[in-house]
Amino acid sequence: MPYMNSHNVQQLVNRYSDMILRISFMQLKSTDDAEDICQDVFMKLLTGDFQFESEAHEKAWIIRTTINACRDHMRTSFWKRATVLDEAYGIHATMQQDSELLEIIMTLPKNYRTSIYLHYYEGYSVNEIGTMLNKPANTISAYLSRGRKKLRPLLEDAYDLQCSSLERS
Amino acid sequence: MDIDLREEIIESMDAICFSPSDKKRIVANLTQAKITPIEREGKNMKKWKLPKVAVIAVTVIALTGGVAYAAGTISSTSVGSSIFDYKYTYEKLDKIYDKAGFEGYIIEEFSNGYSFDKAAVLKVNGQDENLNNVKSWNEIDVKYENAQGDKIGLALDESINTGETEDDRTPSSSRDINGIIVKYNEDEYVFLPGNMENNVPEEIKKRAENDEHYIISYGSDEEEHSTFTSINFVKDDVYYLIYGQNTTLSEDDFYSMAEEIINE
Repeated sequence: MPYMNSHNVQQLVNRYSDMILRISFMQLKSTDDAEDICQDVFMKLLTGDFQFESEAHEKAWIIRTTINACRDHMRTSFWKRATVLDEAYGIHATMQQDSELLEIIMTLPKNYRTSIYLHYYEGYSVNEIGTMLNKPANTISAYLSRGRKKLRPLLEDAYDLQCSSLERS
Repeated sequence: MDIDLREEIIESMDAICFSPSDKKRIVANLTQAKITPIEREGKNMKKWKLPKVAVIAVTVIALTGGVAYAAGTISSTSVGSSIFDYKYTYEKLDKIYDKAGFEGYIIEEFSNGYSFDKAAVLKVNGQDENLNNVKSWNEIDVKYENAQGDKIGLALDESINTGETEDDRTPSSSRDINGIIVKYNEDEYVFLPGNMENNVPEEIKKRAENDEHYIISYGSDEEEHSTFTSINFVKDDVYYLIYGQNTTLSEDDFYSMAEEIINE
């Protein structure tokens, strides 16, 4: 029987769809195709005969499959056309608020963005991220280090602003 | 610094999320696309050809599952697709046929105003009871749209593949058009939350047992109803299925479209 079935479909979608969306956004800089990627990933779970040792293995598989699905989407020559179609159908994910930090993260190269997300949000180590992205661990360390350098001034500015407003009050 | 950064990143990323309705749609598409036939067979309920529910749905995951195969080895079929597959315009008809490996009769515009929008050549997987793929073939799936934006679909398969997938239900109606038997089906689907599987209201359960065209599917957040209408026939060894979800087209409209293909 497939790993995903009528009893756990909702549970799996609730557990992983936002993560798939965020990884898709990190990879593609757009949420327009995230729902398609989400469907692709879950369809693989639906049609494959998987046995995961643990929830951690399940999650790692979903992350790798999402990254691969994003690569497949980028490879297709219909990328731009599909984006237009998605917009026409009104598929879009929710961005609940503007985030200056997110804007800066999105100026970083794709692998930096994805590594930052997986490390800081999902809590994966550089070795684990290396396996997921098929890159050496020291490359991931470099991505994170360079990413931090770019993000640091923003955080310092925010910190200064906070301090000065506290002093004023 | 790193703790601040982590907190800031978590806060920023938390803002990126699917809305509850997006998630509901994903669950519904997945449920309709794959799980329904499995559940049905597990319950030894009658098997029949499901309409291509998700092709009509926005995110286009298609299905031709839940089919009764005379050959016995294949118990269901599934088709996975995305909008990326729908890349062919009517002008690329030759390429569609080349890729599919067979030809059929594809109308550019039906007299009721539905015109060719886009098409895909999809891989259909025939699966055994354990959902192992035992056979694959190509299917042409065409999307039609009218001026009001209403959509219907037309699927073409070589009948050598789908001929054995005879729908074993009594069709809602059938007609002989120029010597070809055309079968029309109007199916009402009731979608129920998964936790209602063992607690289906008696009225719904009874109707599903007695009405071949009333089908229960599980996995929605709340009870929902949808009507799927389709018409099918075989012409020159090609199986045609015209289908629509909650369409305003009448039974006669479907027969007229079938007739246009038959007379082509």
